Amino acid sequence: MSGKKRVDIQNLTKSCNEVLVMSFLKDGPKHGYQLALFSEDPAGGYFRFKYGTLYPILHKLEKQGLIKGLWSDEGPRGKRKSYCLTKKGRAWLKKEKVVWREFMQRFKQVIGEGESE
Amino acid sequence: MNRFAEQLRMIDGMLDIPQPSRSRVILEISADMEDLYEHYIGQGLGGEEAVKRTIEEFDISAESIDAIAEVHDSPLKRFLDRFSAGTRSALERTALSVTMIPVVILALMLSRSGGMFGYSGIWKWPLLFGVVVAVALGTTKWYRLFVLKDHNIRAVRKRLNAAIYISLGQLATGFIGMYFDLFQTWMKSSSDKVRTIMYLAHWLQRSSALLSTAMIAAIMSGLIWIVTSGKAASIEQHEAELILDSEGESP
Repeated sequence: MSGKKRVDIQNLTKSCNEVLVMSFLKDGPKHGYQLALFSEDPAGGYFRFKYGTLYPILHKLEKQGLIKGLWSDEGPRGKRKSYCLTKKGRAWLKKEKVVWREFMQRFKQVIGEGESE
Repeated sequence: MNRFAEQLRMIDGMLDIPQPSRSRVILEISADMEDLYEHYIGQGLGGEEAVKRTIEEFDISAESIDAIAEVHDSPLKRFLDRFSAGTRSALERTALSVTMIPVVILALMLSRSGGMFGYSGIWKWPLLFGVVVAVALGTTKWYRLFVLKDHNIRAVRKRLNAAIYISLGQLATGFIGMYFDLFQTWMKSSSDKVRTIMYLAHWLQRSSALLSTAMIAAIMSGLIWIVTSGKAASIEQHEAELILDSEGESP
């Protein structure tokens, strides 16, 4: 077995959600509600987040220093919190992308690409 | 007035994390609910339907709330949050005042005696530097809070924790200086055993002066952190209470 990083199969959904949130943030800061709206999802709403799932992920990533929460006062609209990637977060995402691409490739090998039952 | 006050109160009741973290989570969720509501209005939905859809979308389960609590909870954070004036109970605030006031008075009396600072040796300079940095930090924050009346919490909290680290560093400096001096005293007394008692007496005098100076410096830096973070916490809590206390308005 090589020491190469692999996708954590036991926590597949959790790690997948983290990578998705980080990927959605790579183009610039976004509010929580923007992340949850399917319009932000390049896959056309396939990976839509429920708010209940989103907040623990955002807060965990912020605690780990991978994203940064920015409070801004938007006058009569009140305070809003948006999130953006940190330098550490960008580096993390770059590594994770490699890991996930390999995972998907292997997964397709196992289930058989393009086969219909 | 907040149209989602009822839902926010429910989340607040289930969220078992200390203040001010709880207020911050509530403020964030409240802002996102409002934004989603406006999004639905922008899509052409009526007010009532937009509220209904927003509430449905934000149906945060007990499991999710536990997951948020898990992220925010740590024994150290819980301990530090308890020091924020806005989040302590009246009994805790009284106990802290009763403890701190005599310590501050004693520290001022000792510092006025003059000689103590001189007896602290070279270790007094890093302690003094720490106080200058902490006071400069506190002054900029207090100027923003009390003169400019700018309640931008992000700006107030930025680098504020440096004050508590300075305070801990000052205490550590005092102890390191005391042990370093003890080592030097042992070196001297081992080559001149006749004067051992005299060396020890001098060490005791220098050490007590150094530790007292370190404590005064640490108290000053610590107070700057307690007062400023307490004010920031009370602003956050006040904002969250405004949202939670407001009656749900009709859409």
